[in-house]
Amino acid sequence: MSEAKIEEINCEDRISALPEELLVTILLLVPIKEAVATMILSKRWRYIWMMLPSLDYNETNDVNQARDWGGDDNDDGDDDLESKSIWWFLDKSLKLHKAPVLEILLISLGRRCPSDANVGNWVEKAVDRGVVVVKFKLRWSAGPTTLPKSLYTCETLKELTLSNKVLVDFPSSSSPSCLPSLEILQLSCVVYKDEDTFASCLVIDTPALIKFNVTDYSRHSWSIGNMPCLEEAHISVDCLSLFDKIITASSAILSLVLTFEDEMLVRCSTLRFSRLLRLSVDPSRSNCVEPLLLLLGNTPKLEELVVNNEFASEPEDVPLSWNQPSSIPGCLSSHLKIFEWRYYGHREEEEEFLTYILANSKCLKTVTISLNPILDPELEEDFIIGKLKDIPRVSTSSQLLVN
Amino acid sequence: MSESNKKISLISSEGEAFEVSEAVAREFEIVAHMLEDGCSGSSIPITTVDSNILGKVIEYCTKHVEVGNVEGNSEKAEKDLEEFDKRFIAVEMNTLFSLILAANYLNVKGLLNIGCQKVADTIKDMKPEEVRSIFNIENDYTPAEEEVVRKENEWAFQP
Repeated sequence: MSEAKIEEINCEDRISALPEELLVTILLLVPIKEAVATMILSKRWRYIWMMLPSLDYNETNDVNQARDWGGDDNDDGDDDLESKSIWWFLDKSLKLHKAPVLEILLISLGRRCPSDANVGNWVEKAVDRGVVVVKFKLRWSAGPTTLPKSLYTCETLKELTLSNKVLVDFPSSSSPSCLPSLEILQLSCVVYKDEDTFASCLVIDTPALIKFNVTDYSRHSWSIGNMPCLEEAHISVDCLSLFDKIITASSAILSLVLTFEDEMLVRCSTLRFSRLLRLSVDPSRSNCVEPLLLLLGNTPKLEELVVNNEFASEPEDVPLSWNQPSSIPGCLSSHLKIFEWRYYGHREEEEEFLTYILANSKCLKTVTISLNPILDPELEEDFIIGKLKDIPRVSTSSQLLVN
Repeated sequence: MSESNKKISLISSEGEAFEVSEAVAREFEIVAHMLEDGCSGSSIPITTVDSNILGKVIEYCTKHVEVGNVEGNSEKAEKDLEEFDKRFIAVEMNTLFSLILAANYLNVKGLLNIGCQKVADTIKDMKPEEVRSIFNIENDYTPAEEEVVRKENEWAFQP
Protein backbone atom coordinates (compact mmCIF):
# COMPACT_ATOMS: atom_id res chain seq x y z
CA MET A 1 0.00 0.00 0.00
CA SER A 2 2.57 2.51 1.09
CA GLU A 3 4.62 1.92 -2.07
CA ALA A 4 1.65 2.72 -4.26
CA LYS A 5 1.17 5.92 -2.31
CA ILE A 6 4.75 7.03 -2.92
CA GLU A 7 4.36 6.45 -6.64
CA GLU A 8 1.24 8.54 -6.67
CA ILE A 9 2.98 11.47 -5.04
CA ASN A 10 6.04 11.08 -7.22
CA CYS A 11 4.44 11.77 -10.57
CA GLU A 12 6.90 14.35 -11.81
CA ASP A 13 9.40 13.50 -14.56
CA ARG A 14 12.50 14.59 -12.69
CA ILE A 15 14.99 12.71 -14.88
CA SER A 16 14.10 14.42 -18.17
CA ALA A 17 14.46 17.80 -16.46
CA LEU A 18 18.13 17.16 -15.73
CA PRO A 19 20.59 19.17 -17.85
CA GLU A 20 21.97 17.29 -20.85
CA GLU A 21 25.44 16.95 -19.34
CA LEU A 22 23.99 15.03 -16.37
CA LEU A 23 21.95 12.77 -18.63
CA VAL A 24 25.17 12.05 -20.54
CA THR A 25 26.95 11.30 -17.23
CA ILE A 26 24.20 8.84 -16.32
CA LEU A 27 24.14 7.14 -19.74
CA LEU A 28 27.92 6.69 -19.55
CA LEU A 29 27.23 4.31 -16.67
CA VAL A 30 24.72 2.23 -18.65
CA PRO A 31 25.75 -0.51 -21.13
CA ILE A 32 25.89 0.89 -24.64
CA LYS A 33 22.89 -1.00 -26.04
CA GLU A 34 20.58 0.23 -23.30
CA ALA A 35 22.01 3.74 -23.54
CA VAL A 36 21.23 3.89 -27.27
CA ALA A 37 17.75 2.45 -26.74
CA THR A 38 16.83 5.46 -24.56
CA MET A 39 16.22 7.34 -27.83
CA ILE A 40 12.71 5.88 -27.84
CA LEU A 41 11.75 7.17 -24.36
CA SER A 42 10.65 10.61 -25.54
CA LYS A 43 11.72 13.43 -27.86
CA ARG A 44 13.98 14.80 -25.10
CA TRP A 45 15.94 11.56 -25.18
CA ARG A 46 16.17 11.15 -28.95
CA TYR A 47 19.69 12.54 -29.36
CA ILE A 48 21.22 12.39 -25.85
CA TRP A 49 23.10 9.11 -26.44
CA MET A 50 24.78 10.61 -29.50
CA MET A 51 26.74 12.94 -27.21
CA LEU A 52 28.45 10.18 -25.19
CA PRO A 53 32.21 10.86 -25.13
CA SER A 54 33.02 7.25 -24.35
CA LEU A 55 31.79 4.17 -26.21
CA ASP A 56 32.34 0.57 -25.17
CA TYR A 57 31.37 -2.15 -27.64
CA ASN A 58 32.09 -5.54 -26.19
CA GLU A 59 30.85 -8.65 -27.92
CA THR A 60 31.65 -10.90 -25.01
CA ASN A 61 29.36 -8.83 -22.77
CA ASP A 62 26.37 -10.09 -24.67
CA VAL A 63 26.87 -13.67 -23.79
CA ASN A 64 25.22 -15.56 -21.02
CA GLN A 65 27.60 -15.41 -18.07
CA ALA A 66 27.22 -19.14 -17.48
CA ARG A 67 29.36 -19.75 -20.55
CA ASP A 68 32.38 -18.22 -18.96
CA TRP A 69 32.24 -20.61 -16.07
CA GLY A 70 32.77 -23.65 -18.27
CA GLY A 71 36.34 -24.85 -18.11
CA ASP A 72 36.59 -25.86 -21.77
CA ASP A 73 38.92 -24.51 -24.40
CA ASN A 74 36.52 -21.76 -25.22
CA ASP A 75 38.76 -19.00 -23.97
CA ASP A 76 36.67 -15.97 -24.73
CA GLY A 77 33.15 -17.24 -24.26
CA ASP A 78 31.84 -15.64 -27.41
CA ASP A 79 31.30 -18.54 -29.75
CA ASP A 80 27.56 -18.14 -29.42
CA LEU A 81 27.16 -18.05 -33.17
CA GLU A 82 23.38 -17.88 -32.89
CA SER A 83 23.27 -14.28 -31.78
CA LYS A 84 24.37 -11.42 -33.95
CA SER A 85 27.77 -9.80 -33.71
CA ILE A 86 27.83 -6.39 -32.11
CA TRP A 87 29.52 -5.22 -35.31
CA TRP A 88 26.30 -4.03 -36.97
CA PHE A 89 25.24 -2.17 -33.87
CA LEU A 90 28.67 -0.54 -33.67
CA ASP A 91 28.64 0.43 -37.35
CA LYS A 92 25.14 1.96 -37.25
CA SER A 93 25.50 3.77 -33.94
CA LEU A 94 28.89 5.29 -34.77
CA LYS A 95 27.43 6.62 -38.03
CA LEU A 96 24.85 8.60 -36.01
CA HIS A 97 27.08 9.49 -33.08
CA LYS A 98 27.91 13.17 -33.11
CA ALA A 99 29.79 14.21 -29.97
CA PRO A 100 32.54 16.59 -31.12
CA VAL A 101 35.11 14.70 -29.07
CA LEU A 102 35.18 10.93 -28.73
CA GLU A 103 37.59 10.45 -25.84
CA ILE A 104 37.36 6.73 -25.28
CA LEU A 105 36.66 3.99 -27.83
CA LEU A 106 36.69 0.39 -26.63
CA ILE A 107 35.97 -2.31 -29.20
CA SER A 108 36.06 -6.04 -28.62
CA LEU A 109 34.87 -8.15 -31.56
CA GLY A 110 34.61 -11.91 -31.47
CA ARG A 111 34.25 -14.75 -33.93
CA ARG A 112 30.76 -13.64 -34.93
CA CYS A 113 32.15 -10.48 -36.51
CA PRO A 114 31.73 -10.66 -40.32
CA SER A 115 35.08 -10.99 -42.04
CA ASP A 116 34.32 -8.17 -44.50
CA ALA A 117 33.70 -5.62 -41.76
CA ASN A 118 35.77 -2.49 -42.15
CA VAL A 119 36.86 -2.40 -38.54
CA GLY A 120 39.64 0.11 -39.04
CA ASN A 121 37.22 2.72 -40.37
CA TRP A 122 35.87 3.58 -36.91
CA VAL A 123 39.30 3.74 -35.36
CA GLU A 124 40.13 6.36 -37.97
CA LYS A 125 36.95 8.32 -37.13
CA ALA A 126 37.95 8.27 -33.47
CA VAL A 127 41.42 9.59 -34.33
CA ASP A 128 39.76 12.44 -36.24
CA ARG A 129 37.74 13.26 -33.12
CA GLY A 130 40.63 13.59 -30.72
CA VAL A 131 40.52 10.14 -29.16
CA VAL A 132 42.52 9.70 -25.94
CA VAL A 133 42.02 6.00 -25.16
CA VAL A 134 41.68 3.20 -27.72
CA LYS A 135 41.32 -0.45 -26.76
CA PHE A 136 40.86 -2.72 -29.72
CA LYS A 137 40.50 -6.48 -29.51
CA LEU A 138 39.75 -8.53 -32.59
CA ARG A 139 39.12 -12.26 -32.47
CA TRP A 140 37.26 -12.76 -35.73
CA SER A 141 37.72 -15.79 -37.96
CA ALA A 142 39.45 -13.80 -40.73
CA GLY A 143 43.17 -13.09 -40.79
CA PRO A 144 44.98 -10.30 -38.98
CA THR A 145 44.05 -6.83 -40.13
CA THR A 146 45.94 -3.58 -40.20
CA LEU A 147 44.60 -0.44 -38.58
CA PRO A 148 44.72 2.96 -40.28
CA LYS A 149 48.15 4.59 -40.31
CA SER A 150 46.71 7.70 -38.65
CA LEU A 151 46.29 5.74 -35.40
CA TYR A 152 50.05 5.48 -34.99
CA THR A 153 50.61 9.18 -35.39
CA CYS A 154 47.56 10.33 -33.40
CA GLU A 155 48.60 13.31 -31.31
CA THR A 156 45.83 13.07 -28.69
CA LEU A 157 46.19 9.35 -27.96
CA LYS A 158 47.42 8.62 -24.43
CA GLU A 159 46.48 4.97 -23.98
CA LEU A 160 46.48 2.23 -26.61
CA THR A 161 45.68 -1.45 -26.18
CA LEU A 162 45.75 -3.82 -29.14
CA SER A 163 44.89 -7.51 -28.83
CA ASN A 164 44.83 -10.61 -31.01
CA LYS A 165 44.25 -10.35 -34.77
CA VAL A 166 45.70 -6.91 -35.20
CA LEU A 167 48.65 -6.49 -37.49
CA VAL A 168 50.70 -3.97 -35.59
CA ASP A 169 52.50 -1.64 -37.87
CA PHE A 170 54.32 1.13 -36.09
CA PRO A 171 55.86 3.60 -38.49
CA SER A 172 59.61 3.42 -38.81
CA SER A 173 61.61 5.25 -36.20
CA SER A 174 62.66 7.83 -38.74
CA SER A 175 59.14 9.24 -38.92
CA PRO A 176 58.94 12.40 -36.86
CA SER A 177 55.70 11.97 -34.97
CA CYS A 178 54.97 8.53 -33.65
CA LEU A 179 52.35 8.79 -30.94
CA PRO A 180 53.85 11.82 -29.24
CA SER A 181 51.41 11.75 -26.28
CA LEU A 182 51.20 8.00 -25.72
CA GLU A 183 51.73 7.09 -22.05
CA ILE A 184 50.39 3.56 -21.82
CA LEU A 185 50.84 0.86 -24.47
CA GLN A 186 49.60 -2.70 -24.15
CA LEU A 187 50.14 -5.32 -26.81
CA SER A 188 48.54 -8.67 -26.18
CA CYS A 189 49.12 -11.60 -28.56
CA VAL A 190 49.06 -9.31 -31.61
CA VAL A 191 50.68 -10.03 -34.95
CA TYR A 192 53.66 -8.09 -36.19
CA LYS A 193 54.32 -6.85 -39.65
CA ASP A 194 56.49 -9.04 -41.89
CA GLU A 195 56.85 -11.66 -39.24
CA ASP A 196 58.14 -14.22 -41.69
CA THR A 197 61.22 -12.27 -42.49
CA PHE A 198 63.62 -12.64 -39.66
CA ALA A 199 65.44 -9.43 -40.36
CA SER A 200 62.59 -7.03 -39.73
CA CYS A 201 61.39 -6.52 -36.26
CA LEU A 202 59.05 -4.18 -34.52
CA VAL A 203 60.62 -1.06 -33.19
CA ILE A 204 58.38 1.09 -31.08
CA ASP A 205 59.40 4.72 -30.82
CA THR A 206 57.23 6.52 -28.33
CA PRO A 207 58.86 9.46 -26.60
CA ALA A 208 56.25 9.97 -23.85
CA LEU A 209 55.57 6.33 -22.95
CA ILE A 210 55.37 5.70 -19.20
CA LYS A 211 53.86 2.23 -19.02
CA PHE A 212 54.47 -0.65 -21.41
CA ASN A 213 52.74 -3.99 -21.15
CA VAL A 214 53.37 -6.82 -23.58
CA THR A 215 52.18 -10.42 -23.73
CA ASP A 216 53.50 -12.48 -26.59
CA TYR A 217 54.04 -16.21 -26.87
CA SER A 218 54.67 -16.46 -30.58
CA ARG A 219 58.46 -16.12 -30.60
CA HIS A 220 58.54 -12.95 -32.61
CA SER A 221 61.68 -11.04 -33.09
CA TRP A 222 61.25 -7.49 -32.04
CA SER A 223 62.71 -4.79 -29.93
CA ILE A 224 61.90 -1.67 -28.03
CA GLY A 225 63.07 1.60 -29.44
CA ASN A 226 63.24 5.02 -27.95
CA MET A 227 61.25 5.18 -24.70
CA PRO A 228 63.11 7.72 -22.58
CA CYS A 229 60.27 8.21 -20.06
CA LEU A 230 59.43 4.53 -19.51
CA GLU A 231 58.77 3.91 -15.83
CA GLU A 232 56.87 0.68 -15.72
CA ALA A 233 57.12 -2.43 -17.88
CA HIS A 234 55.17 -5.71 -17.69
CA ILE A 235 56.83 -8.15 -19.98
CA SER A 236 55.47 -11.64 -20.50
CA VAL A 237 57.14 -13.15 -23.54
CA ASP A 238 59.05 -16.18 -24.68
CA CYS A 239 61.25 -14.49 -27.20
CA LEU A 240 64.98 -14.21 -26.73
CA SER A 241 65.75 -11.20 -28.85
CA LEU A 242 63.49 -8.84 -26.95
CA PHE A 243 66.20 -7.42 -24.79
CA ASP A 244 68.61 -6.61 -27.55
CA LYS A 245 67.60 -3.00 -27.41
CA ILE A 246 65.74 -2.62 -24.17
CA ILE A 247 68.97 -1.42 -22.73
CA THR A 248 68.41 1.94 -24.38
CA ALA A 249 65.19 2.27 -22.39
CA SER A 250 66.17 0.45 -19.25
CA SER A 251 67.99 3.13 -17.36
CA ALA A 252 64.80 5.06 -16.55
CA ILE A 253 62.56 2.12 -15.62
CA LEU A 254 61.24 2.25 -12.06
CA SER A 255 59.09 -0.85 -12.06
CA LEU A 256 59.56 -4.11 -13.94
CA VAL A 257 57.40 -7.24 -13.98
CA LEU A 258 58.89 -10.15 -15.87
CA THR A 259 57.21 -13.44 -16.77
CA PHE A 260 59.31 -15.63 -19.00
CA GLU A 261 61.69 -18.50 -19.38
CA ASP A 262 64.86 -18.58 -17.41
CA GLU A 263 67.10 -17.83 -20.39
CA MET A 264 65.43 -14.46 -20.55
CA LEU A 265 66.31 -13.80 -16.96
CA VAL A 266 69.90 -14.71 -17.72
CA ARG A 267 69.89 -12.28 -20.60
CA CYS A 268 68.27 -9.58 -18.53
CA SER A 269 70.69 -10.05 -15.68
CA THR A 270 73.48 -8.45 -17.66
CA LEU A 271 71.59 -5.18 -18.14
CA ARG A 272 71.87 -2.36 -15.66
CA PHE A 273 68.64 -0.85 -14.29
CA SER A 274 70.04 2.09 -12.43
CA ARG A 275 66.72 3.59 -11.22
CA LEU A 276 64.66 0.44 -10.76
CA LEU A 277 62.63 0.48 -7.51
CA ARG A 278 60.29 -2.49 -7.95
CA LEU A 279 61.04 -5.85 -9.53
CA SER A 280 58.67 -8.76 -9.85
CA VAL A 281 59.73 -12.03 -11.47
CA ASP A 282 57.55 -15.01 -12.36
CA PRO A 283 60.06 -17.63 -13.40
CA SER A 284 58.87 -20.62 -15.38
CA ARG A 285 61.34 -22.88 -13.63
CA SER A 286 62.35 -22.52 -10.06
CA ASN A 287 66.12 -22.63 -10.52
CA CYS A 288 66.28 -18.95 -11.27
CA VAL A 289 68.32 -18.08 -8.22
CA GLU A 290 71.69 -17.41 -9.85
CA PRO A 291 70.48 -15.14 -12.67
CA LEU A 292 68.20 -13.39 -10.21
CA LEU A 293 71.14 -12.63 -7.94
CA LEU A 294 73.07 -11.33 -10.95
CA LEU A 295 70.13 -9.11 -11.80
CA LEU A 296 70.01 -7.84 -8.21
CA GLY A 297 73.63 -6.85 -8.66
CA ASN A 298 72.51 -4.58 -11.50
CA THR A 299 69.61 -2.92 -9.68
CA PRO A 300 71.38 -0.75 -7.11
CA LYS A 301 68.28 1.21 -6.01
CA LEU A 302 65.84 -1.71 -5.71
CA GLU A 303 63.38 -1.33 -2.81
CA GLU A 304 60.82 -4.00 -3.52
CA LEU A 305 61.33 -7.55 -4.79
CA VAL A 306 58.56 -10.05 -5.55
CA VAL A 307 59.29 -13.65 -6.53
CA ASN A 308 56.21 -15.48 -7.76
CA ASN A 309 56.66 -19.22 -8.15
CA GLU A 310 53.06 -19.84 -9.19
CA PHE A 311 53.99 -20.79 -12.72
CA ALA A 312 57.24 -22.52 -11.96
CA SER A 313 57.34 -26.14 -12.95
CA GLU A 314 59.08 -28.24 -10.36
CA PRO A 315 61.61 -30.63 -11.80
CA GLU A 316 61.45 -32.89 -8.76
CA ASP A 317 64.31 -35.17 -9.68
CA VAL A 318 66.73 -32.51 -10.79
CA PRO A 319 68.91 -31.37 -7.93
CA LEU A 320 69.04 -27.62 -7.96
CA SER A 321 71.96 -25.75 -6.67
CA TRP A 322 73.33 -22.26 -6.67
CA ASN A 323 76.48 -20.59 -5.54
CA GLN A 324 76.53 -17.47 -3.48
CA PRO A 325 77.88 -14.54 -5.48
CA SER A 326 81.33 -13.29 -4.56
CA SER A 327 79.93 -9.95 -3.44
CA ILE A 328 76.56 -9.13 -1.92
CA PRO A 329 74.30 -7.17 -4.32
CA GLY A 330 74.36 -3.52 -3.30
CA CYS A 331 70.58 -3.12 -3.17
CA LEU A 332 70.38 -5.70 -0.38
CA SER A 333 72.67 -3.84 1.96
CA SER A 334 71.30 -0.37 1.31
CA HIS A 335 67.83 -0.25 -0.28
CA LEU A 336 65.65 -3.38 -0.24
CA LYS A 337 62.69 -2.73 2.09
CA ILE A 338 60.03 -5.14 0.91
CA PHE A 339 60.49 -8.78 -0.04
CA GLU A 340 57.62 -10.99 -1.06
CA TRP A 341 57.66 -14.65 -2.04
CA ARG A 342 54.47 -16.10 -3.52
CA TYR A 343 54.02 -19.88 -3.78
CA TYR A 344 56.94 -20.63 -1.52
CA GLY A 345 57.49 -24.39 -1.57
CA HIS A 346 60.08 -24.75 1.20
CA ARG A 347 62.45 -26.85 -0.82
CA GLU A 348 66.06 -26.83 0.21
CA GLU A 349 67.32 -24.30 -2.32
CA GLU A 350 64.32 -22.05 -1.71
CA GLU A 351 65.08 -22.02 1.98
CA GLU A 352 68.76 -21.31 1.26
CA PHE A 353 67.89 -18.37 -0.98
CA LEU A 354 65.48 -16.96 1.58
CA THR A 355 68.11 -17.31 4.28
CA TYR A 356 70.58 -15.45 2.10
CA ILE A 357 68.14 -12.56 1.45
CA LEU A 358 67.21 -12.26 5.10
CA ALA A 359 70.82 -12.45 6.24
CA ASN A 360 71.97 -9.66 3.93
CA SER A 361 69.08 -7.20 3.58
CA LYS A 362 69.92 -4.61 6.17
CA CYS A 363 67.01 -2.19 5.51
CA LEU A 364 64.29 -4.81 5.23
CA LYS A 365 60.94 -3.77 6.72
CA THR A 366 58.48 -6.43 5.63
CA VAL A 367 58.86 -9.96 4.40
CA THR A 368 55.70 -11.64 3.14
CA ILE A 369 55.72 -15.31 2.33
CA SER A 370 52.72 -17.11 0.86
CA LEU A 371 53.03 -20.86 1.07
CA ASN A 372 52.39 -22.95 -2.01
CA PRO A 373 49.02 -24.64 -1.42
CA ILE A 374 50.38 -27.83 -3.01
CA LEU A 375 53.08 -28.37 -0.43
CA ASP A 376 54.84 -31.62 0.12
CA PRO A 377 52.24 -33.49 2.21
CA GLU A 378 54.93 -34.69 4.59
CA LEU A 379 55.59 -31.12 5.66
CA GLU A 380 53.41 -29.63 8.35
CA GLU A 381 52.39 -26.04 7.76
CA ASP A 382 53.03 -25.04 11.38
CA PHE A 383 56.42 -26.63 11.18
CA ILE A 384 57.35 -24.56 8.10
CA ILE A 385 56.04 -21.37 9.63
CA GLY A 386 58.14 -22.08 12.73
CA LYS A 387 61.20 -22.70 10.60
CA LEU A 388 60.67 -19.51 8.60
CA LYS A 389 60.41 -17.51 11.80
CA ASP A 390 63.68 -19.00 13.00
CA ILE A 391 65.69 -17.81 10.00
CA PRO A 392 67.94 -15.05 11.30
CA ARG A 393 67.21 -11.57 9.95
CA VAL A 394 69.94 -8.97 9.88
CA SER A 395 67.31 -6.24 9.92
CA THR A 396 65.97 -6.91 13.41
CA SER A 397 63.12 -4.44 13.04
CA SER A 398 61.70 -6.27 10.04
CA GLN A 399 58.30 -7.96 10.13
CA LEU A 400 57.69 -11.46 8.83
CA LEU A 401 54.21 -12.35 7.61
CA VAL A 402 53.34 -15.88 6.52
CA ASN A 403 50.07 -16.56 4.69
CA MET B 1 44.51 20.21 11.13
CA SER B 2 43.87 23.73 12.30
CA GLU B 3 41.41 24.56 9.52
CA SER B 4 38.93 22.03 10.84
CA ASN B 5 38.42 24.16 13.95
CA LYS B 6 37.03 27.03 11.91
CA LYS B 7 33.27 26.98 11.51
CA ILE B 8 31.32 28.07 8.45
CA SER B 9 27.58 28.59 8.12
CA LEU B 10 25.87 27.31 5.00
CA ILE B 11 22.50 28.98 4.45
CA SER B 12 19.78 26.96 2.71
CA SER B 13 17.18 28.39 0.29
CA GLU B 14 14.77 28.78 3.23
CA GLY B 15 17.38 30.82 5.11
CA GLU B 16 18.21 28.10 7.61
CA ALA B 17 21.86 28.12 8.76
CA PHE B 18 23.88 24.90 8.95
CA GLU B 19 27.10 25.28 10.91
CA VAL B 20 29.85 22.98 9.67
CA SER B 21 33.61 22.73 10.00
CA GLU B 22 35.66 24.27 7.24
CA ALA B 23 36.89 20.80 6.24
CA VAL B 24 33.31 19.67 5.59
CA ALA B 25 32.44 22.89 3.75
CA ARG B 26 35.49 22.38 1.56
CA GLU B 27 34.00 19.09 0.36
CA PHE B 28 31.67 21.37 -1.62
CA GLU B 29 34.08 22.33 -4.34
CA ILE B 30 32.09 25.45 -5.03
CA VAL B 31 32.73 26.56 -1.45
CA ALA B 32 36.39 25.55 -1.61
CA HIS B 33 36.80 27.80 -4.66
CA MET B 34 35.06 30.69 -2.91
CA LEU B 35 37.40 30.32 0.08
CA GLU B 36 40.42 30.20 -2.19
CA ASP B 37 39.25 33.30 -4.01
CA GLY B 38 39.48 35.16 -0.74
CA CYS B 39 35.83 35.01 0.25
CA SER B 40 36.40 35.15 4.00
CA GLY B 41 32.79 35.47 5.13
CA SER B 42 31.75 32.91 7.68
CA SER B 43 28.30 32.37 6.17
CA ILE B 44 27.73 31.25 2.62
CA PRO B 45 24.28 31.27 1.02
CA ILE B 46 23.35 28.13 -0.95
CA THR B 47 20.25 29.59 -2.53
CA THR B 48 19.31 26.74 -4.84
CA VAL B 49 19.29 23.97 -2.24
CA ASP B 50 16.58 23.53 0.39
CA SER B 51 17.17 22.63 4.04
CA ASN B 52 16.20 18.98 3.69
CA ILE B 53 18.64 18.32 0.85
CA LEU B 54 21.40 20.57 2.20
CA GLY B 55 21.22 18.66 5.49
CA LYS B 56 21.66 15.39 3.61
CA VAL B 57 24.58 16.67 1.54
CA ILE B 58 26.27 17.86 4.76
CA GLU B 59 25.66 14.44 6.34
CA TYR B 60 27.36 12.81 3.34
CA CYS B 61 30.36 15.17 3.40
CA THR B 62 30.76 14.93 7.18
CA LYS B 63 30.97 11.14 7.02
CA HIS B 64 33.51 11.27 4.18
CA VAL B 65 35.67 13.84 5.98
CA GLU B 66 35.57 11.78 9.20
CA VAL B 67 36.65 8.59 7.45
CA GLY B 68 39.29 10.46 5.46
CA ASN B 69 40.85 11.75 8.67
CA VAL B 70 41.33 8.31 10.24
CA GLU B 71 44.74 6.93 9.39
CA GLY B 72 45.44 3.27 8.85
CA ASN B 73 42.91 0.43 8.74
CA SER B 74 42.04 1.72 5.30
CA GLU B 75 40.46 -1.45 3.93
CA LYS B 76 37.85 -1.64 6.65
CA ALA B 77 37.24 2.10 6.47
CA GLU B 78 36.70 1.87 2.74
CA LYS B 79 34.20 -0.94 3.17
CA ASP B 80 32.32 1.00 5.83
CA LEU B 81 32.20 4.00 3.55
CA GLU B 82 30.87 1.88 0.72
CA GLU B 83 28.14 0.57 3.01
CA PHE B 84 27.34 4.11 4.11
CA ASP B 85 27.10 5.30 0.49
CA LYS B 86 24.80 2.42 -0.38
CA ARG B 87 22.43 3.20 2.48
CA PHE B 88 22.70 6.94 1.93
CA ILE B 89 21.63 6.81 -1.70
CA ALA B 90 18.75 4.35 -1.17
CA VAL B 91 16.15 7.13 -1.25
CA GLU B 92 12.98 7.69 -3.22
CA MET B 93 13.24 9.14 -6.73
CA ASN B 94 12.38 12.73 -5.87
CA THR B 95 15.08 12.99 -3.22
CA LEU B 96 17.54 11.17 -5.48
CA PHE B 97 17.18 13.75 -8.25
CA SER B 98 17.33 16.64 -5.77
CA LEU B 99 20.56 15.17 -4.40
CA ILE B 100 22.01 14.80 -7.91
CA LEU B 101 21.18 18.40 -8.79
CA ALA B 102 22.57 19.68 -5.48
CA ALA B 103 25.75 17.60 -5.83
CA ASN B 104 26.17 18.91 -9.37
CA TYR B 105 25.64 22.55 -8.31
CA LEU B 106 27.83 22.32 -5.20
CA ASN B 107 30.33 20.17 -7.06
CA VAL B 108 30.49 17.27 -4.61
CA LYS B 109 31.95 14.69 -6.99
CA GLY B 110 31.57 11.56 -4.84
CA LEU B 111 27.90 12.21 -4.19
CA LEU B 112 27.24 13.04 -7.84
CA ASN B 113 28.88 9.75 -8.81
CA ILE B 114 26.83 7.56 -6.49
CA GLY B 115 23.65 9.42 -7.46
CA CYS B 116 24.21 8.96 -11.19
CA GLN B 117 25.24 5.35 -10.63
CA LYS B 118 21.98 4.72 -8.75
CA VAL B 119 19.96 6.07 -11.70
CA ALA B 120 22.08 4.13 -14.20
CA ASP B 121 21.59 0.90 -12.23
CA THR B 122 17.83 1.48 -12.41
CA ILE B 123 17.92 1.96 -16.20
CA LYS B 124 20.11 -1.10 -16.72
CA ASP B 125 18.31 -4.27 -17.87
CA MET B 126 15.02 -2.41 -18.32
CA LYS B 127 12.85 -2.17 -21.39
CA PRO B 128 12.14 1.42 -22.54
CA GLU B 129 8.51 1.06 -21.40
CA GLU B 130 9.67 0.10 -17.92
CA VAL B 131 12.13 3.00 -17.78
CA ARG B 132 9.33 5.38 -18.76
CA SER B 133 7.05 4.14 -16.01
CA ILE B 134 9.71 4.11 -13.26
CA PHE B 135 10.81 7.67 -13.96
CA ASN B 136 7.37 8.98 -15.06
CA ILE B 137 8.75 9.96 -18.45
CA GLU B 138 5.94 11.18 -20.65
CA ASN B 139 6.15 9.68 -24.10
CA ASP B 140 5.59 12.69 -26.34
CA TYR B 141 6.09 10.81 -29.58
CA THR B 142 2.82 10.19 -31.38
CA PRO B 143 2.36 6.48 -32.15
CA ALA B 144 3.25 7.26 -35.78
CA GLU B 145 6.40 9.15 -34.79
CA GLU B 146 7.49 6.38 -32.45
CA GLU B 147 6.99 3.88 -35.22
CA VAL B 148 9.25 5.94 -37.52
CA VAL B 149 12.02 6.18 -34.90
CA ARG B 150 11.83 2.43 -34.31
CA LYS B 151 11.86 1.68 -38.03
CA GLU B 152 14.77 3.99 -38.79
CA ASN B 153 16.74 2.56 -35.93
CA GLU B 154 15.76 -1.08 -36.10
CA TRP B 155 19.37 -2.05 -35.40
CA ALA B 156 19.16 -0.42 -31.96
CA PHE B 157 16.23 -2.51 -30.72
CA GLN B 158 17.34 -5.97 -31.81
CA PRO B 159 18.29 -8.33 -29.02
